[in-house]
Order: sequence, then C-alpha cells, then structure tokens
Amino acid sequence: MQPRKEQLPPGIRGLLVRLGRIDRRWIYLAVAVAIGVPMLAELRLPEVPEKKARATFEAIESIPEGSIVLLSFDYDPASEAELEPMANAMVHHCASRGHRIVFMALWPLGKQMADKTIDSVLKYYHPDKVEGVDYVQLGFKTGNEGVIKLLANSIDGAYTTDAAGKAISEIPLLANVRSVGDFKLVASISAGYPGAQQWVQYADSAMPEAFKLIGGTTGVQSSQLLPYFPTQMEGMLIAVKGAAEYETLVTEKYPVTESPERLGIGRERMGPQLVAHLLIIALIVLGNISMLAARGLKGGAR
Amino acid sequence: MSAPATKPNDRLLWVSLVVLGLVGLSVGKFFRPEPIAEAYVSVTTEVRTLVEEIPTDDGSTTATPAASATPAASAAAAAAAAPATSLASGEAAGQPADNTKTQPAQPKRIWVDADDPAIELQLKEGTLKRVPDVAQAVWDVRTPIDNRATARAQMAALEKEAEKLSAPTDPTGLTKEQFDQREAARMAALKVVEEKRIVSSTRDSLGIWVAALLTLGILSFLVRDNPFYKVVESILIGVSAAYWMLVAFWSTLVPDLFAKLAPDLVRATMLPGLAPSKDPTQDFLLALIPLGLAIMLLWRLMPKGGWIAVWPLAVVIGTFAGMRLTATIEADFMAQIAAAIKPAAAFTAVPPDEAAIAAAQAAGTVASPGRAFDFGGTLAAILGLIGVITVLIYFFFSLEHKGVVGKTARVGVWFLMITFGAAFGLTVMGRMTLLIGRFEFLFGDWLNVAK
Repeated sequence: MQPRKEQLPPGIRGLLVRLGRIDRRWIYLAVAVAIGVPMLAELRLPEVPEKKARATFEAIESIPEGSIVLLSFDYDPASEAELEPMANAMVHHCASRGHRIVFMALWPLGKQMADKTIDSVLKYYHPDKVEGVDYVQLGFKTGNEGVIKLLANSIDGAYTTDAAGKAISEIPLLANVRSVGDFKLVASISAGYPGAQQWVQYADSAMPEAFKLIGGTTGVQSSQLLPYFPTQMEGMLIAVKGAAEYETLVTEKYPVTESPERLGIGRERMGPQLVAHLLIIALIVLGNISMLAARGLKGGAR
Repeated sequence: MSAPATKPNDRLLWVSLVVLGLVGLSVGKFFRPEPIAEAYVSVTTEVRTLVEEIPTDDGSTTATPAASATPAASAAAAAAAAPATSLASGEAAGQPADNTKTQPAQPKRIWVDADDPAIELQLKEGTLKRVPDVAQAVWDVRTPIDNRATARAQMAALEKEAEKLSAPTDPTGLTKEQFDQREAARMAALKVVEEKRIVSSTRDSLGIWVAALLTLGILSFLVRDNPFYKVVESILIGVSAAYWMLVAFWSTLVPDLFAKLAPDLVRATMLPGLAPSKDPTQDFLLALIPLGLAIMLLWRLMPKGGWIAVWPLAVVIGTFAGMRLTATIEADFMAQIAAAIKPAAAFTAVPPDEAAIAAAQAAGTVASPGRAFDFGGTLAAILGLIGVITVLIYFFFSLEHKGVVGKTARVGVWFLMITFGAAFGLTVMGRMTLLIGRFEFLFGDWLNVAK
C-alpha cells in the first residue's frame, strides 16, 4: 500500500517546509560547488593578521638569532590540509631568522609530515642549511605525553638516535642540548592528542620560564587550547585562517622569489573557505526559517 | 525481497555528478596541453666514483661523504661494484642510505659525485680513497617536483634558456680569439642546459591515479553506502593497522626493549647507530620488567589465566592516572585560576609624553612609560569575569536554579551556547579545509584544471 502523500500548506510556507526536507545530498553538492568554483576561479582575499598570529610571529622574532628551536609535528595526513601551511611558514620563518631547528613527532606519521616540509621549504629556500648542524630530524617516538616528560629530563632519555639512525651524541646541533629546557622555543603543530595541550601540561608546567611555547592547531582542537593563550602559550595559530595570517606576516618580512605558492597555501584556501562559510550560514538561516514554517504540521517543530 | 527502486532524486544526483566529472575531464583533456595526472621529476646526470673511508686507529671512520642517489644509466658499472659495497647494494635495493653504518673490519664504501669540491678535498686529505679497478659510473639523480606548476615553469625556463643560447653570437667588434672564447662558453652553457631534464614520472603519476580513485571512493559515501566505499574503507583500515604495527615494532620494541636486552645483536642487525650504554647490566635488568608485563598482558590470549592480564593493565592505568593528575592540576587548574584573576580595568603602556621626558632628563633619570585606559581589554576582562561566575553557578547543582541563582545560571547557559557556537564554527572551518585539500588534489594534481 502506497503511503499517503502528506499535504503541505500552499504558497511560500509550503516551499519553505519542502526546503527543510530536502535530500541532504543536494547540500553536499552545493558545498562541492561552493568550494570548487572559487578554487577554479582562484579567488584570493587579503589577510589582516590578528593578535594570535602576531604573537606567534613575535615569539619567533624575539629569541636571539641562531637559537635552537624544537618543532614537534603532531599531526598526520588527515589534518595536513589545515596544518601544512602553518608548518611551511614556520619552518621558513625559523630558518630565515637564523634559528637552528630540531624536528620531532609525537604522531606516527608526523615524521613524514616534517620530511615533506623539510624537502619543500627548508631544502628549497635554504639550501645552505646543513643537516646535523642547522637542523636535525629526530623522527617519531611513541609514548605520547611520556615522551614529553622524558624530554623534560633529558633528550637522550627519549631519543638515542636521530631518524637516520645517527647517535644523538654525534650530532653537533645537540651537543649542548640536555633537555627541553635548553631550547629557546618549542612549537607544536598539533591535530589533537598528543599535541599542544600535552606540551603545555608536561613541558611548560614543568619549566614555565625556560622556553617560549607556541602552537598551531586545527579548528576542532582550538577551543581546548584557547584558554592557554597568552599565559601558557605565547602564540597560537588557529586552523587555516591562522595559517593564512601568519603566512602574510612571514612573507612580508622574509619574501621569496621562486615558487612563492609554497608559502601561500593557507591564503589560497581562504577564498573557497569564505564561500563555503557563507553557504553554511545561509543553510543554517534557511533551516531555522523552514523549521518555523513547519511548526504545527505533522513532523514539524512544536 | 527486492532491492529498493532508485528514487528520481538519486538519478538526478548521479547525473549531476557524472556531468560535473565529464566537464572536468573534458577541460583537462582538451584545453590543457598536459595529460591527466602526470607528475614530473627533474633528472640531473652525475659522474660518480666509488670511494672508501679510511678508518682511524679506533676503527671508526672520519669522513661522511654525501650519499649517492639511484643508479640509472651505467647500471653495469654500478652492478659491478655493488656486491663489494654494503651501502651501495642497500641503496640499489631501495633501502634508505645510512652513513653511520660502521663495520670495523670492512671500510665503508660509497658512490660520490666526482666533481664535488668537498670530496676532492677529502681525497687530498686522505680521509677518502678511490677504490681501484672500479670504473666511474654515470648516475641519473631523479628529484620529484611536488608541484606541477613549478615543473612547467622550470621546463619553460630551460627551453627559453636553450633557445637563447642556441642563437648565433654576433661577431661584430670581436677579434677571432674573443669570438671563439664566447662560442666555447655558449656551447658549454647550452650543454649544461640541455642536460637538465624534466621528465614525467610513471611511478608518481600512477600514485596520483590510485590516490584520486581512493578519494572518490571515500567521497562516494555521501551519495550512499556502496561496495566501492567499502573496499576503500577496508584498504584504509588495513594499511593503518599494518603501519601502526610496524611503527610500534621499530620505534618501541627495537630501541626500548630489544636494544636493552641484546644491544650487540640489535646494533649489528637493526640499529647501526645505537650508542653504547653506560650500564648495560642495569639496562638489561630494567628491560625485564616491561618484557614481563608485556608477556602478562598477552596472557589474555591464552585459554586459561586471563586474570594475569589485569595486573599489567593496573600498572598502566595507575601510572597514567598519577602522571595526568599532577599535570592537569598544574596546567589546567592552578594556572587557569591564576590567569583568570586579573584587574577588571585594563591599561596599555604608552610612550612617555614630552613633559615627562623633559622632567626625567632634568632629574637625570629615564622617563617611565605612561599608561592609557584600554576599553577593549577592560570589556574583555569584565565579560570574562561574568562568564566564569555565571557558568560556574550553572554547574552548581547543590542549589535549585530558581530566582537569582536561576537567572544567573541562565546567563551562564548563554555563555556556554556562544562557546559551543564558536567551537562549531571552528569545526566547520576545519572540515571545509580538509575538503578543500582533497579538491585541490583532485582538480590540481589529478585533473590538472587548477593550480
């Protein structure tokens, strides 16, 4: 027996009710168009850096040239689209400022993420940097926050070799680094657990005055980390918006001539982002109007 | 029971997707000179020489020349030397190079760039020496280009340079000697330019196709659950599980357990760079504890005595609870309370005015900076104060939420709702970025219709 077709009110109210019951796949299609069209049209927007991006930039600028900084790549390909732009800009910023970089990862695929940034940014824009002297890749270490606690005591307690298998004691860059307290700055580019929050809890709390702690986070994680700014984390980049603002600051001071798009990925992604957000806002408004229109009908809001 | 008939809406969606796909493919095929999903590598040719490091008195080697890349053109020459060199043979098999592998009895051999000044210096200093009776080999060094736009720009630049260099030199005003010198320089430059090659990479192109199909497989779930999605999902889970297992083995079991129990064996077979322990006996004895706990944990798989697995679990839970408790109290409780206690009226530092500077100069001191009222900071501090108090009252269930308490709690709910709204907005931004990342891959790397 065919179900009886529901009688909808005539006119605009009926249209609005029908709109609220649209097949959700049309919404997926609309989102795809909202992202695809601005991407193909290469929609670009100017970025005005706000407080958190400026604080992140200043944290790296304020430490003396040649300082040793620790960059922890605490993300994997699932969050690469959000975090890779800020990782690229941060590595270029540190290298341009003359800092020496120690790469590590608390996520299994973080090492590969760091390798990608080393290849596409550090080796590309700064070919003069020597591995072992100007930078070192320690790689992934399992143990989550346990690794941070070990690093707070001693580097060689957590890592006996670098990612290539070279003994820590033979790496010139780490000759005077005993623990995480010997870094001037620690940055965690983080997609969740373990990540920036654990760096606050286990490293910053253990030695709050020893180093500056900054972080880059995904949009989802940022609400957990916002309370730490600016007392426990001196800088914070939130999702692709934060990355775009930070890219603007970095490339204004340290411009590149060849392949500038490698340091502009975040800004490129903000165009489609804007259109998609406008669509989502419009859908939320329409959804609420439709809910009001359906009030009193069978299956509608009361 | 028959399968449900396809709804008209579904048909329209499928048609829309197919049309969009065809449009994308057509644009890629007919309006772009490059085929779909073609990745590039730059190829430079180097003449390489096989050298060996001269061991020092203590058996270690001093020189660490740059590792060689993949052999290509002179495969015969490379193959002839490969059996004699542990490093070169390892690379030829696709294994990562490791310059730290030190065999006291056998000097380390490696293929190096014959024209590298650093290598020449080491040969002169005697820290390296050429291996006799092994001919030099021509190597193709292939470097992937991660961005197709970069590859196209590099190719165009090379073509332009070659075209410029191919043009005949104007002999006006030159002596024959000068002309010949310029011609020789031009031909040398042209040769260098022509040797720089950017070619398509079959391996990378295939990788892009596989990744694109897997991406489409996952996205197909948006239309409806289907076998293609199931296959891709299974691949993802299988690959992740296998990867985790390998990572756990190499990053935990090898360095933290096997290396403590049998350091010499691990150094010889798995981890050549393993530093000698200061106290191997203590390491060995301490490593027995996690080994014992691991065996007890795996006891769960045995038919009897499953309770044994409870004890190591208790150790893990107890350790983490203790570790997290102190960290949370310090970072998320005490520090947050301290950060919340601040003056409601905010001021910002401003440079001292001229009168203050003059007065300070007269007194022989330095003028202190002044301070100005910060309206935004004050508003934020007051809102923060109201937010903290009202939200805390909302979560205070010992009093009934009526009267003043109820109204205050209601304000707290508004603060919570605004917080959740902001978190939702950030989540939308995150998810959209992930979709943008995938679209960039599909449109850019695969279909080649966007940068």
